[in-house]
Amino acid sequence: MTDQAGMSMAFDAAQRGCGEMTRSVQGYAGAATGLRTGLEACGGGTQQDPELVVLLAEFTGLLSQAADRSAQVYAATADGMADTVTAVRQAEAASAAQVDAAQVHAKGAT
Amino acid sequence: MSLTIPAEYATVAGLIGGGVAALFTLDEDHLREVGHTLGVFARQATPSLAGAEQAATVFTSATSGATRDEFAGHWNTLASEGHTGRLVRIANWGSTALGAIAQAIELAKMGVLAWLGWSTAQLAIAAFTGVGVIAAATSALLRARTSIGSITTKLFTHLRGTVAQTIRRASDQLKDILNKLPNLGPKPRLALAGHGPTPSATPKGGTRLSSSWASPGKRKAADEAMQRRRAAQESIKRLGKEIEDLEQQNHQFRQAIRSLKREIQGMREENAELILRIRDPHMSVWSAKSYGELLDRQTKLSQSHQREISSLEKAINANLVSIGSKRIAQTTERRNL
Repeated sequence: MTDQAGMSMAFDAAQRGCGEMTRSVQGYAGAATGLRTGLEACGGGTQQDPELVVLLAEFTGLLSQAADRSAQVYAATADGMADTVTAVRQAEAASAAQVDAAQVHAKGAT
Repeated sequence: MSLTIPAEYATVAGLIGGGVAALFTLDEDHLREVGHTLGVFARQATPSLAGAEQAATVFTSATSGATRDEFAGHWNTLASEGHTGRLVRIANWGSTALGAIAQAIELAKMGVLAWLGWSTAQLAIAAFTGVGVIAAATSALLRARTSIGSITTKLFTHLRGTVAQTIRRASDQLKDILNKLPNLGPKPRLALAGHGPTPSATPKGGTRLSSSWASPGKRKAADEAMQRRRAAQESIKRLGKEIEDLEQQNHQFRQAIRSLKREIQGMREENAELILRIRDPHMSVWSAKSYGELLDRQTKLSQSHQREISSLEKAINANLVSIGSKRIAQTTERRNL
């Protein structure tokens, strides 16, 4: 296998991983949003036991906050992966353009 | 809809007092709704996390050098299944726990309602049959008060004790997760150690994608070795923390199993008493029916507790396997030191 072929396969795999990450991140973000809106919709019910109300509010609040925070971390990871793939693609294009320019220059010299 | 005190029982409820009013301020349906919401989240999040883990593996195997190290470092410390997986497990646990608490509250309310119904009937009989029966009605009320007191005390002791402590521990675990996850703000961007890509860099050939994501230019061998050592140290530390978390979780699971077993035992004893009451020929049809329903509910709850115990036991075994593999991974990482 040539370097170029190997490179292309690895690039495809990275791009595939990036796409899969984006889809998974969207799924997780949807679940986190569903959790937040679901808990908001539940409200406090008619619960009047002060200790239980406080415990529940803290527990569900922290859970929702942690779900949102982890969704952000996942989103940032997917963004980072996408940026890397884009950067490599741009670098490849620039490299190819340099090679073309060098060949044109060589032809001109002969 | 949560059980409430029917208007016809209000007088007796007022006479009995005790924890009746406090019990009926609890909203078991609300707990069920919250539990359901947590369960939906856990079910939706699980496949997404598995997908993200898979995507990270594909991406890591397709990259090399500093890019891979930076990505792996970020993934292992921040985004990997570790913290979020714990979060989803807590949500799952919360869903089961809140469902069980709601059922316990409902059972207690049903038990109290059965006693209130019986006491109301005794008072009605006394009102129709004359003064002689009033003493019997008073004695019936006192008996009802004792039994209701026992039901509410047991429930509130359970709520204020085991349930409150367990929810607090779960909240502590969530705080720990939040401390470990970075606060990225509303619009997160590159989270990979703060390094952006360098589009001008030309990828090198080879079988892996090699970008200059983390740093421009080549790194020296010494730097790489140092980085590997640091990564190994961090990995060992992280694995150690994960092992500690799993052991802590197993400890909590074992406590929960013990508590569930105690509850099953308590219900067995109560069921035996209920069976005796149902067989009592003086028992009214309505009361016998209520006791029958209560017995049926308690039997179902015991079965559900039993299922929970077996799922907790499975979770303990899975954690033990995970602890074993993490210990092996630690040993492997120590070779890189």
